[in-house]
Amino acid sequence: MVDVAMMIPGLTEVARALSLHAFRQQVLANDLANAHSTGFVASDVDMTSFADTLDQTLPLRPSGTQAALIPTTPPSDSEDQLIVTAPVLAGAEGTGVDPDATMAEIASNALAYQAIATAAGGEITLAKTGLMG
Amino acid sequence: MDPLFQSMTVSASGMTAERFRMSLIANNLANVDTTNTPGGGPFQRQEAIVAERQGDVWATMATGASASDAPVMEGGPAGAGVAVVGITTDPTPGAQTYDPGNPLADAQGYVRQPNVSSISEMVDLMGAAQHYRANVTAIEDAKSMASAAIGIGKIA
Repeated sequence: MVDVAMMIPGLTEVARALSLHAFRQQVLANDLANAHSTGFVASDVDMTSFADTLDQTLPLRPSGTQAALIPTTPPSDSEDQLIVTAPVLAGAEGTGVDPDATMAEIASNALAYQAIATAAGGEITLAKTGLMG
Repeated sequence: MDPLFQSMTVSASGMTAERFRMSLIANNLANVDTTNTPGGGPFQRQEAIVAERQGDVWATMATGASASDAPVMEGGPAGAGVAVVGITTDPTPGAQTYDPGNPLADAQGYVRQPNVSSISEMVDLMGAAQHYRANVTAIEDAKSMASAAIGIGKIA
């Protein structure tokens, strides 16, 4: 049985990146929903450790040497370990959440997710062209 | 559950909480002149108590942690949204007006008014409406993410 994901280098990492962005969307949505919760502390997902992986994954090139650069292990075993408190998203007037800053993060996270999905779609289209001529 | 659908559930709980706040504000505004209640005394304004939805470890850890002493939280699922946990009544006494002819007036001829300020209630109403819209936008973002994921591999 041929693993389809292995035919396109980086596809597994793209899937992991999409999963991480979807998880971050949930954490940010929770911040926004709790804008009025007393004592609530805003959270965010630490994306810095994943940024290096993304840098090497996004310019996808279907060649063996490029694929070797991509780390095969995720930055963390569990997504939940990436949750950090986010003082940037905290409100200025003593509230736990700044809704505007959180909205900006939600929008940019959604955009990043769509960009990765589009890049992955392009790679699959290329692979299809290679297979079918 | 898939995190994208989970974030829609979380935002929906935010919409429910904001709508509940708006209904309490509407009730406060409707009773801005109510000087007599079944329990006696003037109407006292009500406020919703909202809290992060309980039932997971992460919620309790998140409230007890600060950026300096706990940069990484381990274990437990991500937040599960928000819930209205109670209604509190503002005990602040309202203003007194001199109206000796009123049957509710005390010995000195003063009537205790409700402690509702229609101006601050309107400000709260605008804030609640804005947060409601913010949650709607977050749902729309999650929806567009999900449809982008569906579009992967679609033949152009």
